[in-house]
Amino acid sequence: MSDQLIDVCASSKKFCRDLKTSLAYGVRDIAREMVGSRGTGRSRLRHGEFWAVRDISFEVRRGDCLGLIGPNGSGKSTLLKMINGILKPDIGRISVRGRVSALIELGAGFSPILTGRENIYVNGSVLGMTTTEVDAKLDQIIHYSGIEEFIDMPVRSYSSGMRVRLGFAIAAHVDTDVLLIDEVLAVGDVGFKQRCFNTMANLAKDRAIIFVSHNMANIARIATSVLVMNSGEGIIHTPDVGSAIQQYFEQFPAMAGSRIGEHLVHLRECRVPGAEDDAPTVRYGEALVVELEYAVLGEDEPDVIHLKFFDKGASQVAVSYVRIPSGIAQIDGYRRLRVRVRDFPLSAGRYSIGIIFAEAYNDTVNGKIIAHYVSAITLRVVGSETISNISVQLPADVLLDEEYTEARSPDVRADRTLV
Amino acid sequence: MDVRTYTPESGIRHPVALVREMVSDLSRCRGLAWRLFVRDIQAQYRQTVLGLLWAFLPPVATTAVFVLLNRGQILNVSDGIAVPYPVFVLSGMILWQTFGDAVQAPLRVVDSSAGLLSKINFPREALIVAAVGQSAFTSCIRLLLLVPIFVMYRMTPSYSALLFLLPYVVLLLMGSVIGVVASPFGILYKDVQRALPLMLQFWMLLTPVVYSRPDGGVLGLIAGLNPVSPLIESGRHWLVVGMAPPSGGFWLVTTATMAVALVSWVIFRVTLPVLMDRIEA
Repeated sequence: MSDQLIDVCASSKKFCRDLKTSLAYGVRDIAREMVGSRGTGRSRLRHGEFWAVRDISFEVRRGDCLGLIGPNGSGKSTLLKMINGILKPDIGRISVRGRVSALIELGAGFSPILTGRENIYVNGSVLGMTTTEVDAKLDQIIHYSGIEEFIDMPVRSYSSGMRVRLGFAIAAHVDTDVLLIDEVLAVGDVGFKQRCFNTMANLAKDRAIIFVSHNMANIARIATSVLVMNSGEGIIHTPDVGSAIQQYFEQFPAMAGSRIGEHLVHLRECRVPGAEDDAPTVRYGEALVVELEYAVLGEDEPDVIHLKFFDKGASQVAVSYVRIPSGIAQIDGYRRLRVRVRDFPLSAGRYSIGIIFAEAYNDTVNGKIIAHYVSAITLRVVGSETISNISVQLPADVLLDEEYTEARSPDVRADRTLV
Repeated sequence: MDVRTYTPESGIRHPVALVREMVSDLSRCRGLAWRLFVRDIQAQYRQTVLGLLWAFLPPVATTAVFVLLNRGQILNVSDGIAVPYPVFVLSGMILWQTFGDAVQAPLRVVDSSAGLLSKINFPREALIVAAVGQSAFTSCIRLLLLVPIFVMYRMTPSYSALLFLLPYVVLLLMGSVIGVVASPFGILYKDVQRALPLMLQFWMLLTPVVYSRPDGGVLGLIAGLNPVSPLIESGRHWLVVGMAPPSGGFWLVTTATMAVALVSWVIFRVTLPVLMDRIEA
């Protein structure tokens, strides 16, 4: 079941910035296609063009789900369209085996005048279903969409959420080998999103899926590998979903250099002592020590340090606060201190730690943030026995109270005697 | 398992694969074309009061104009026509509008489906087949207009009316071929969309639709060069007059149309993928 269904080989795609130039190039492209161009002329940029997708290679096997992430305009959707065969690659070669279905815009081709039921037939056949197939799955589709009472109403009177429900219900019932999903669940209520997501996870088992999303929690849950794109180029392609998501966050200028705001505190050193490798490790339930070396550059003296813990889906899962001892403020230049988190409660996995230097806070008001290092450390946690993907694991144990057991035993016996 | 490979090369470089894909897509698109056809017909008439009556109105209106002009002696074009002038104009007009609709259909449908084209990969031929089917459907309805007209003038159709089917189909085909060849350029430049109706208006007046072909003069020369003329003349003659040999150039136009139809299909298939870069939606 591990056959390769998608093979993208050193593929690139260029677009033109200016409309008029783009149209003129279009006419030339028509001529070039008609004389049977070898396609080699397409590999150079003409005036005003840029690479929307540059030299991307990967393959996806059945059962795999490739998460495609990157900032807006990084070429994710273009790449999906190339794999779907809508856009021709300008360089490279793309092979796709089996039936392909794309959840790119749900309900594309819905006719507003026709009823939901009629549109199921139209949309189904656009997606490649035969009338017999639609007939067979009609009830399932309507039931899945959850809009039974509106199904014979014209689609023009549907809300956008209802359209997406119907669109997803149809798309999810198409039998395909390859599924391309482009951020389609932005609309729709929480319940439906959850259902769609479960359906996708289920479909992923025997298909090759490429999943574009800006929701890192979803990527972390469903993807078996991740490709991070920026400005058309592939930054990283790895089965290590956590570190790929880390890379994704580093694409944003505000977070570049892992720093937000003015550089009023310079963090020279930030490490977990005893762990010299790239990924410091801590054992679940033991103490985590973070060593910091920093200098205050501005007027404001920080009073507290926050350590914020993010899981691989970039959700914040925990925070620690420590007060900086007042004596340390006397030191000019770099100060060194260690922050200790006792009984580390996060379950096994990969986390990133953000470090914030801030002014003191009271019960109602947060102190002013002086410096914010977004992902200062990547931390690996080992040693927790867990099967869930919940980050915080509270230590708990069973209490076997001797008195309790002894007191209970005679009763059991008493019960038996009664019988 | 079906494997599709996409490369920068033009599809024309691999004619065998191209033809194989064209044939497989054509058979794949039948169900979809039918769905789109039904969708468009339903959507077109559902939000109207007059419904199908709208199909009848264009030929009736234009026919009425020419009949009135002729009756008022403003135009004098009815000489040497074997049937009553209204029958002549109406049948000619129905044939011409079949052609005209077919010319405009491909570009209209490609333009209105830009969103679908840029999001979903389906056999693109289905759009064209559905649109041409819609033109055929409308013109078939219009042919029903001839029934009351025949009754009114106490005419009976001859057996030659069966032959009418051939020029009718060729007209549809020729119209859609022109439309299909125009559509890649129409996707790029809206000029094409604006030019088409204007061009068709002139073309109609240069075609023996409301008059019979003059023997000489500029108009006679133009009518002789005009590929639509023999189709309209023969079609109309077989439909409302009776058996006659096809007018000059009929077979030439018919075979040429068939050949060009295949070429235009190749043009459409090969150029549409590179045009998708330009209709990003």
